[in-house]
Amino acid sequence: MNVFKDKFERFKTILSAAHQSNAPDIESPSAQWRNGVMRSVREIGTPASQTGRPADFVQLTWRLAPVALLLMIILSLYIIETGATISHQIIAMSVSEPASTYLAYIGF
Amino acid sequence: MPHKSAEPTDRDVVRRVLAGDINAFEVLVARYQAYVFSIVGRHVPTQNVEDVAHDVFVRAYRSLPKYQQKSGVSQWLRGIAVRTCADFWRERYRRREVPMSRLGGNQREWLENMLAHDSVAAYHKAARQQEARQILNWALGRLSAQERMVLELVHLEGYSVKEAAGLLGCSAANVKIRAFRARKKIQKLLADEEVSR
Repeated sequence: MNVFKDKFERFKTILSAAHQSNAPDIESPSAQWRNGVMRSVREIGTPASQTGRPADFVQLTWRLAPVALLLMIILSLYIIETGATISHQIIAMSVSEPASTYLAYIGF
Repeated sequence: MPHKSAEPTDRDVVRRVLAGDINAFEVLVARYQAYVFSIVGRHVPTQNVEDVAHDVFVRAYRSLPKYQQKSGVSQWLRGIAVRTCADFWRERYRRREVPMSRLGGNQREWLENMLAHDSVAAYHKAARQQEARQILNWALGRLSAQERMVLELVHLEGYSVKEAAGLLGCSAANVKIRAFRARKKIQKLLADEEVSR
């Protein structure tokens, strides 16, 4: 394997030199190219109007994830310590008799 | 990048663009176009350089509100350029437009001769030859889009793992794994070539 390791190092040197010499022939792009970029940019509008995109919302959601987890733990502990049995009974009733539970809940 | 005192600084230009002066962005395009072309030109085929460089500036414009003034515009643009090149290759691989041909007899012979050499000067002289470019494309074509970019940045351009991770917008662990895989694949390619001779 050391032979291949050694060969890789030599191969890497060749590739690296070839890669470095792979610079483009285009020294200065044409004015037409620059106009094309500016045309695309003008179509977008002002960059300030790009804020508030869904990507920002996703980032915010992930930032709030630890807070949501903490809240879940606190609520779980609270339910275990206090009215867990009452909630459990209501859930059991609503599963067995959903219509009557709902009617009782809304005060019928 | 040095500027004449009469010219607006990059910070001024960014401020003007963000204030609604879209045309001011052309100053940044003119100032950094050669720089962006030099980066993009090392990663994508020559015929695609203009299109990818165009995308780099459009992306840069879109993400201008997120630009952190503490890092220079050139450093910021370098990251965008590298990620745009990575996306270019991802798209190419998705469409299966990357050639998977084997090495020709002449290229194989040339490679074997080069691997037998010890002189660094000989490598650099040989690297200017057409065979070197063909072999480079052959080797890179065997890697995935991400492995290709990682190999180019870490092994061929000498960036550290941390720097490459910053440019590609992924974790250092991710870059390490991809660099390792790319290296293993290249070693296997060399071994296969050895066996098939």
